[in-house]
Amino acid sequence: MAKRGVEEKNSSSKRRTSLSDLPDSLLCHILSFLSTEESVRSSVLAQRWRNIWLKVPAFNLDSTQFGEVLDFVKFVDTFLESEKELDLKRFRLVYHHDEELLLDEDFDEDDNFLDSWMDKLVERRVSHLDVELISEFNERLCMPMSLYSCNNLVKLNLYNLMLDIPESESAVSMPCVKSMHLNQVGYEGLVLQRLIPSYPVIEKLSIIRGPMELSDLTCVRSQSLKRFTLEVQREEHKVVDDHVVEIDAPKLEFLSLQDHSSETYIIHCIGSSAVVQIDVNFDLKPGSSLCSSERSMVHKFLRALSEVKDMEISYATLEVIHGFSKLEALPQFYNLTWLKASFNESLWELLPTFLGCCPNLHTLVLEYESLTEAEPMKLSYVPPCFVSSLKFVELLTPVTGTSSQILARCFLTNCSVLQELTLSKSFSNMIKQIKKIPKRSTRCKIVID
Amino acid sequence: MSKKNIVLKSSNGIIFEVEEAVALQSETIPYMIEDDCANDTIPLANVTGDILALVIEYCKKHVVVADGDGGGSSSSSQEDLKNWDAQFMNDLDQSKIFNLLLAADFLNIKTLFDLTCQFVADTMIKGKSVEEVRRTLNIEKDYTSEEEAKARQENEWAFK
Repeated sequence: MAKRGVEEKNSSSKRRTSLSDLPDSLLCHILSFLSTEESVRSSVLAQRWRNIWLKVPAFNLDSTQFGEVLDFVKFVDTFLESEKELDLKRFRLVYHHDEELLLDEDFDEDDNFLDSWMDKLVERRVSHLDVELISEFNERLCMPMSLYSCNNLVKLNLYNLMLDIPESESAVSMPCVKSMHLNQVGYEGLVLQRLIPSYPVIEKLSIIRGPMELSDLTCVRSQSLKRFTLEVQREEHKVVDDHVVEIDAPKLEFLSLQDHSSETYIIHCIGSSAVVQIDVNFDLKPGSSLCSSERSMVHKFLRALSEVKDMEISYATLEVIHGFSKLEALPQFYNLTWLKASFNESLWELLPTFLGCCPNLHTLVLEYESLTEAEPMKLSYVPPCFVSSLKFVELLTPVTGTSSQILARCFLTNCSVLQELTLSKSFSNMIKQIKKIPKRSTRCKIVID
Repeated sequence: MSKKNIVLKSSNGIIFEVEEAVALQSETIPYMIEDDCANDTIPLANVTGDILALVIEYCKKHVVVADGDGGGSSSSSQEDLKNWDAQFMNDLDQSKIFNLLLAADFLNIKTLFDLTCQFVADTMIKGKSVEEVRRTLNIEKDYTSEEEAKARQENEWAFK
């Protein structure tokens, strides 16, 4: 063990400390912040550095750095086998799977290197695992089953791979997983159903589903989950007709849904006072009327979100809510203090109704495209939040017309406790007229952002 | 509310009195309190006064944000802290940086340890040729040309 620290004896001979004074373990830690390519290069520095890179507790490599895939496979083998006792903190691999490899005579397809690497990663108690597959011929590799025995895994990121169904929930031994990110990962619904309940401490889950997914169910049930993001990329020809999303996560603090494809959403429970970003349309055509089962689903969906604190809501979702609001009353969003909504002209009718359900709204950000010159918002009644709570209003639009001025007027003349009305730059041409509008709340400032 | 102070003594006898919360960012100090010298001065035989001053400066900066604003620090303060960290590291010479790294390791202050290691990796190694790294870090080349060529050849791919 190299000596630690530099003692200044009576501070008479003050010696400079250099990198060579550090023990190997610290050199390894420094190298762990570099890519494996750079860490390997250190082997040429001096004798002492010859094999230090093999003891670095992190690995970060892209297979394109190798001319021959087989050299790459051999290199990864060497790294994983050399320090069997050493815990591996991070393992990140970008693997380009191409036809060239399959044509290579020396390559035996049955010799699945991914399997043997995964076994070694389990042995080396890997804590962060990040695997990306780049494939030219749309063939995805399956993650080895031994992934499910990663006892020490804290963070899992996968891109463009497949996940096999674990034999049972008890076949999954991943008690430390705190975060999982699946991007374009293929799996059957049962996979999440078995995996997520086997992660007792998971806090963060994000899923980006590609257009070719086969799973009909994304079921997220967790007592510990705090953040969940689901993005379903739009697909012209859906493989699965009725994709169902089911969420039961009472500790959820943040939920983001971006999905114009799934037909069914069942939210049993999320945390109260959560922050949500909602852009879903239940695969409904714009303007279509809701059948009774759809109506009941939207009813439950809104009820499940009714305790959120912050909400960002898309035009597509508001359009569904608009249809729904003609059939029955919206729930009250008592906790909602911050709302950002994307509107457009067909929805102005909904705005006062929707704001009427947010009695404690503090900040409202309205984003809208262009309006016809028709009057944008008719206030049949003044929503309670205008009187008691709404302090900040922001209007964001690329182009303004007289209707934008009417909108600004509506807030200025009706909101009793308004402190600030922020307008996008497009309002510059009418700011003088807006400033002349008599304000209900005299201390309200008008700001162009 | 009375705040408890802790007294730290550097290897060259300089005394620092700090709030408990500042000192407890070190995971080593609690053991030292338990072990020998409760209510007394904690001697840090491996850390000189100038380095200990830097460690304390760092810990003071990081403790304020941790309990400011009643818990969860806002993203802007995280951003400020990042800028502060970068400036803090930039002002140090190499010898101080390595002593700070050793002190952070000895005192087990994980964020400071990672900060110093990351700084060394990013500013002294990353993107530099082998020759440049040797020069920057004062590493004496003790390879023969043959040995160096062999080491290079073993992982030729990394030197393209």
